Amino acid sequence: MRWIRVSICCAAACCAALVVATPLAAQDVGEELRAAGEHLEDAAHEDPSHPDTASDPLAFDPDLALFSLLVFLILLVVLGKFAWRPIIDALEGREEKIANHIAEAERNHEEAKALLAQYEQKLADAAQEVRDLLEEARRDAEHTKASILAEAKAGAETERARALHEIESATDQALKALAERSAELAIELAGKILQSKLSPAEHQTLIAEAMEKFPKATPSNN
Amino acid sequence: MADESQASHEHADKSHDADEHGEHSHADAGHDAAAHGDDAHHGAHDPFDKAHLISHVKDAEYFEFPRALGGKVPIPQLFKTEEPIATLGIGFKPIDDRIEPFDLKLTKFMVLEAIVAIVLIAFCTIVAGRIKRGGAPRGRLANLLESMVVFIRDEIARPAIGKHDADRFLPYLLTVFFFIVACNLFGLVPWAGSATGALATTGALATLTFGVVVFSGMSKLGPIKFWLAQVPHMDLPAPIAIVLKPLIFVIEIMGLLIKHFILAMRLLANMMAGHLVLAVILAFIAAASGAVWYAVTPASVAGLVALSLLELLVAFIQAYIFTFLSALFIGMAVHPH
Repeated sequence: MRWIRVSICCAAACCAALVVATPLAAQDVGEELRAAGEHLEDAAHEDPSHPDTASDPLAFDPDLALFSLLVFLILLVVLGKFAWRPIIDALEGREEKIANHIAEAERNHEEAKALLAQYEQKLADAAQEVRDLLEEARRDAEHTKASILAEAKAGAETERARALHEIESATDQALKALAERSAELAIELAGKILQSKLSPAEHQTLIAEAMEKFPKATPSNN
Repeated sequence: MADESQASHEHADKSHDADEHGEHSHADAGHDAAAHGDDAHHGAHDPFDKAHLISHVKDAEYFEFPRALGGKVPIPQLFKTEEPIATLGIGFKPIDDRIEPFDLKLTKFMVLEAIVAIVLIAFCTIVAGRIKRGGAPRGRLANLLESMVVFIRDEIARPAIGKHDADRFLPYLLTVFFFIVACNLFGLVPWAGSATGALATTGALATLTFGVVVFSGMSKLGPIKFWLAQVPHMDLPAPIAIVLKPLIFVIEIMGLLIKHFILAMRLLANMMAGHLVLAVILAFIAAASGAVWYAVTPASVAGLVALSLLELLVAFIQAYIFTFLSALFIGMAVHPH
């Protein structure tokens, strides 16, 4: 945009300058015109042996041709050595560098993809392992729980059995003691009733008889 | 003819053109025509005089500026010989008449070519240094040069010559392109001129291309095979081939020469014609008088601006065409058929 503005300003300035300059130049050209008239005859007397090439658009000037050739060859050598060769080499170097960068980026990308897949696999494996571990732990815990429960149940059973047995034997003893005591009391009572009609020997016989009847009614002990 | 008399002749020849300076300094002449309208018209010269118009486009031994800036500035003739060193000719009058004497004169186009060479060398070597440093391209100039170089390499040299051989000819094609572009562009600089508007310049370039074509073809195919390869391969019975092949060979060789001659003519015609049209449009201003002048002048100036822009385009297009055709001819020589 800046260049467009600058060029528009330049064009405007040129136009303005031309408008201002024209009246001044007009004077000049007027004189020139008169001078031209005077020179007209001179011009007519030009050497006719030498063809006039001034107005020939196809005129060929060997001087210019030689000079052009020379300038061009100098340009070819100088630019070829100091401009084109370095530029072409630099461009090729840069192209190669860019191609290498792209190849490298692709390689890195492939590598990254492979790594990502690898890590994803590892992650999946780890998750699986964790799941397995948890499963195993749960199974272990279940097993332990079952065994503990069974053990406890068994312990409780034996304890109960033992307790029952103890209760049974205690009941036996108690019954026995109770029977003895009640027999004694009965005998004592009977004796008192009979007022010692019974001798100690008879007394003992009576007890024994009573005792014999007793145990038959009770469960036997161990 | 002595220096002095030559110079005075030149001066006479030019200055008797009434509107010469007016035309050259654009609107000046127009106003002059309005102010001294009758003078201009009934003076010695018609503004549309062919010789006069062409003399503005042609090479000369002087630079011409508006009088306020010094008018005609002759180029110091340091080496010019009093008598021509040689008068070249091929013995055919219409051609010999067009060949100017070889007398080591210095002309405007030589000065411009030297300036072109200096500008190109300075510009290209500086930018080359910058590009050589590597890294991303930076700056307008580096990008400009680089895009053109890459364009010539990838769009001209490689398709026309083939990737394998193209890089060998790249320096030549690049130099041709930039030399022609620079010369053409100098044609758009006020008071300068376009050195490519002379047959001598374009002829020298086309001759060089011809030389490169022949040399590259001969070094690639061998000196004899190159010339034989000019005849396209044809399945002909032996008796017909003996008659026909030499004929075709002659035609092909003539074609080869004409191709390169046209290369020179195309560039010359384009550059000269463009500038002649500009001169003619300027002459309209000189030709107009009275109230018409006020209508013609803005139209002419607008037309000049438009055509100058066209010339800018043509400057690049012609350089491109010359380079592209040179590359094609080299490609055809290196890879026949």
